[in-house]
Amino acid sequence: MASTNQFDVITYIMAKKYADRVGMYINPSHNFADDTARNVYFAANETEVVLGMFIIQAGALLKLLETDYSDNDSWQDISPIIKGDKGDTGVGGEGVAPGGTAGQVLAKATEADYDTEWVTPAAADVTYNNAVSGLTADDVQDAIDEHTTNTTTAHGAVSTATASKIIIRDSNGRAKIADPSASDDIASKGYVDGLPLHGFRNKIINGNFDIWQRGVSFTATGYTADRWRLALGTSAAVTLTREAFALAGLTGEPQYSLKLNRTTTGDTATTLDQRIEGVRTLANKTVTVSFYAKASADFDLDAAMVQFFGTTGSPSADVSTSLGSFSLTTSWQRFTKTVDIPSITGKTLGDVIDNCLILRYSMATAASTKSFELSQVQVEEGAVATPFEQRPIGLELSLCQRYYYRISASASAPWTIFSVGFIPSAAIIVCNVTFPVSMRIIPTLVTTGTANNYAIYENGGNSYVLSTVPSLTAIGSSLEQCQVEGVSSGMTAARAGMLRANDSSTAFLGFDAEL
Amino acid sequence: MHKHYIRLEGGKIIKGFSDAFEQPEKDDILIAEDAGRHFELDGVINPPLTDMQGIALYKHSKGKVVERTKAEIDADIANIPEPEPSEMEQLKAKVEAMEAALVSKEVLTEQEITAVKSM
Repeated sequence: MASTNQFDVITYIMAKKYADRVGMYINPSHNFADDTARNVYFAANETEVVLGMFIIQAGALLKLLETDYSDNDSWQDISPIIKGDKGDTGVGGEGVAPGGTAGQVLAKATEADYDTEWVTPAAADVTYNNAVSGLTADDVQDAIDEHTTNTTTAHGAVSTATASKIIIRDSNGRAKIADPSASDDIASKGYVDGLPLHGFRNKIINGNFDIWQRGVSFTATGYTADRWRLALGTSAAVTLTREAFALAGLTGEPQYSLKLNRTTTGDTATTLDQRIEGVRTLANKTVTVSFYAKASADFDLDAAMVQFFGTTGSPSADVSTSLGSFSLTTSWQRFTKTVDIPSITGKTLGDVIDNCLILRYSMATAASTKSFELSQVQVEEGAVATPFEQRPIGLELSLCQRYYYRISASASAPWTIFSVGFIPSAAIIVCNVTFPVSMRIIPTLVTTGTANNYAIYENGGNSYVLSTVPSLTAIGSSLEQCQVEGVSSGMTAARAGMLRANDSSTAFLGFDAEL
Repeated sequence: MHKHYIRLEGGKIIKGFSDAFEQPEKDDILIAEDAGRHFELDGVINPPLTDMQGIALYKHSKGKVVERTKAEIDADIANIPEPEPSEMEQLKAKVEAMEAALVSKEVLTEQEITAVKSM
């Protein structure tokens, strides 16, 4: 708020309603506080100050009061409507180079300021779209909005493996790509699955049901196919058998499946377990279970992963993680389920080393008297079910033999020799059995339970039928070998001898270190 | 869960087993319930219950399984009957008896027998 001379150019004019008058205040001294009438011209009445009123100051014709200030009680700045004198004409600019023709553009001729020229752009520099004309800013914004919200074809994107197209996820959140070529190309699941994947992904042993050391048909609670334990429900009756696949019977060409046929439902569920050694296994990990299954008629097969902390002492209670129910039909299907196995932080193990992670199939009583078959069971770390890991059968057998090793007679070998030993007295033979692999624990010896299935063949040609079933002497035994005793009578001390089957197709020595 | 049993003979434990593998007989003694699949004592699975000579290492006393004392084990060892002579020992004894008979009957002298044996 400058200006003090009312006879100079007026730069600040105020207007307000004063008392019962409307007045004009031409500021010569910048003093509004007291609202005095000093230097103020007051019109005699409202009619003297009207819209469109002109006043003349310093020779300038000023138009005032285009706005009605007659109702204002406070000073209003109306200076902006005051215009000064027209200034002097400035120095002419450099301007744009004259000339040019339609379609040309202005370009710098040299680095010098204002040195421009009209040039005709090359065809590759500019793309013309004669169809676009008359676009407004809103039109452009609408186009951008439509483009950014387009969920299916933005930039022409596709979810298929199409050359020179941007990838967009399909309705399942997936997109496809062609097989990789360069070392840094992206690979698809199908491509990766087709590669020889790293070994020992599968924590299940004998998931392909190739190994059946104990036999191929079972009806009682206990171990069946190697590493697979059957537990009958109360009053239930089942037959568990090995079933053969025809060639090309199932993806991966498994040779056998496990079939559980429940003939009497019973009062509680019948379960089939595999106990994976060590409860630390897969703890606090994401785990994917996969398997093939079918049933004699549709029913839901339940499954769970159970963390078992051992026996004796004060082990923590079991922790069960449900895998849900799998809807079996009469056709083979591959089922997969991913779950998170809980952490074992804060848990307590039992005194005996038998803690484990259990994969448990449970046939509820609601399933009544149906049967189901399993094949290619796999439990692996991660959220993806990879193809079933087909290990060499000899390797799979070795893995099984850490938990169970069996020497069996057969119909074609009813005099099978189990072991060679010495006869320290007339009543006993002590034999050494070396295990093919180190066992999990010093095993429990399993026999047929019938003493006369076994005999001692003494050096010298005599054979002595055992009076009790063979037994294992723990002292002197280890995880790698053990001593087996056979008791009879009438033998000659200090001779060598053999413990063998006594013309029996069913005799066996089983060394059980299962969980 | 399984049950564990012991079998006694004169108070000495001659066998221990789990019902996962064998069912108990009338006089077998139950020593553990809710136990593991394999027989165990003090957390040791399938422990030795006898030594190399078949002497029991444990006994059942006042309802508990306890180790037998060294004196008890030594007493059992002392009672082990002498083993029958082996065939070789029996043959050697017969030869020595025949040699003695030949000398006593003056069929051969000891020098002649020694000479024969060195041939």
